[in-house]
Amino acid sequence: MLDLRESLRRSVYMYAKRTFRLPMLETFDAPDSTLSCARRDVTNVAPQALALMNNEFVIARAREFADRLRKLGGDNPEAWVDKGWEIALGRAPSAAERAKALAMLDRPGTTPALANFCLMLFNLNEFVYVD
Amino acid sequence: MSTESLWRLLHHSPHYSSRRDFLAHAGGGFGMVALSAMLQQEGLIAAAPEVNPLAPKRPHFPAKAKHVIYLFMHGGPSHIDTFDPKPLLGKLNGQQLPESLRNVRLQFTNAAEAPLLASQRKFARHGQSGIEVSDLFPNVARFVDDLAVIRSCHHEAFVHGMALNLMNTGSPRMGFPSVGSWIVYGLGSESQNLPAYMVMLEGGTKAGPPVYGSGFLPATYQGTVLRDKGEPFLNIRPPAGMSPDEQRDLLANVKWFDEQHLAGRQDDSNLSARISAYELAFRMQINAPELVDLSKEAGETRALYGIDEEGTRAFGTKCLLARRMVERGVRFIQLYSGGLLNGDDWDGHAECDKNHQRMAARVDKPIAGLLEDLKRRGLLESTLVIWGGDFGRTPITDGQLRDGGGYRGGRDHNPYGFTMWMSGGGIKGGKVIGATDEIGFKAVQDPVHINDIHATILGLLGLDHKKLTYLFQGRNFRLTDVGGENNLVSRLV
Repeated sequence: MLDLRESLRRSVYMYAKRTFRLPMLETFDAPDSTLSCARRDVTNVAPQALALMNNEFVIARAREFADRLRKLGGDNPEAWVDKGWEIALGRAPSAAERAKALAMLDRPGTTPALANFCLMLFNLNEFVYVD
Repeated sequence: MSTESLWRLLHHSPHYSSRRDFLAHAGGGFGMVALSAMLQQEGLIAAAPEVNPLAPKRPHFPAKAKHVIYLFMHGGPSHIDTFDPKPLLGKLNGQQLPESLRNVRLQFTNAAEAPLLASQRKFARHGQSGIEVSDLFPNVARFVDDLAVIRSCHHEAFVHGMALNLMNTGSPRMGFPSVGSWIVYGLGSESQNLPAYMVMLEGGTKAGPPVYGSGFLPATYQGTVLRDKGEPFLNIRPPAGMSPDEQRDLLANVKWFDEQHLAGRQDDSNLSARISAYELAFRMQINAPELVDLSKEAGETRALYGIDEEGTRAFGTKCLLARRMVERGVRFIQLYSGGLLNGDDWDGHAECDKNHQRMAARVDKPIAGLLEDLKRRGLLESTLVIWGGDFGRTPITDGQLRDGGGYRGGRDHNPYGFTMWMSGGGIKGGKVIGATDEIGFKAVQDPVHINDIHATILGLLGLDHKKLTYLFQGRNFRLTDVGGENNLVSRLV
């Protein structure tokens, strides 16, 4: 059984095998550890989108983010949206954005709407790129 | 900076896709602004940054081949038991090497001690060309008139790791871009729905992922591993429980918010590049499962590749997938026979003959099936098929002793002379290039270094190996480094 208390920690330093790149970091252009790297490449390619859409780790974080928003906002979807925007993007949503987000939360589906909303936030350009 | 070096910088480093990029690299600071603006007007550097690094690019000259299928026999197949017959070796069995070869360095064997070991295989002439092939490859032998057999290959590394790097990246050291990465960097992708460079492994390689890595090229040019169990690619399946409709909605929302965000930020090409990456990702999700679904292949086709037989199923499936990838525009495909696990690849240190009988039985029919299928579908014309491995093997017995003493009937690694063959991609078959010495130890006639092989592969794809460069650590690197002079293209086509 995976002990979450053991594995959910920030890594200050960790064991790394030189010829093995961590898949998630590799997807996001981590340099080859067998060479020195003077300047990192930055790419925008489909496997990165797939990772943020479908990767189990990302999905799990979205679910946990949803739990956090529920704790913070109670039963109030508007509070979920505002808190989500504030935590993920560091600003309040515009009126149009809030309306769009609320419509998303109102949609019935096989997966929880709030978790999907959180996953959506992780996939936004604004989440990935800082102005 | 001289005019000449500036010219070289611009023409050999397509990486300077923007004004900002160029200025940053040129290091000229503000003094360069005027020049940069001028060059932009002249069309020498792009006004807007290139959005898609995989956009199709024109080759340097008309290409013969559009696709490559590289069949890699991991461990190192013995040339003298497969495609390079040495009758004299049979006569000299058990004798010592001639004086002149006793100081050749090998990984596990003292060349001054280990005796010569005859091949137990039978060779016969095949096809119109009469090229000799051993009985390990009875099916491939039927296509010998389509093959260019290069019997004088050589490189410098007698250890797997370095040899795998050399064969795949042109350098014995780690971290250099692989052939496939250079090709995709040079030509871009033909497919809108699948990665341009795909790799099918049998448990990994002894040099690890760098052999299909992009090294110092951007990561977008690296090989994508098609996994043989579970989903074909990582992260290709939507989260558990999420319906396709739900995901489409989610992505439509992402796009809506991204477009809001884009307003007022149009000068940042990364943002629109990321939006298109999501569109490709969604198409890949649909197309990847279709690629690996072999249910619509005719029974006769499956039989051709040996997919319904236990022994050939694994490699046959890979070969059939390779053809399907070619049909769907994948540029570079590499297939491994054997992998990390000792004794389950072509590394015949003990009882080499038995090892090769076992390994060849897994690949002979699938490879022949692939050649036949490509040929009858008219795909062989534009698809270069390459066969090779880490290196060849020694004509003397492997120097390691079995418990209780005595040699083990194996062969050690031999990078000094070995065979590769190529087919398709504009090559006129039925040809032999070069020769090893009379016992098959060293390439002596028309030696073809691995850099020459790489120059030839690039050449068949319309790329000049001297012009395909990338600026890294202060100099222009290329796949062939400072080699590749013996480019075989004019002799093969």
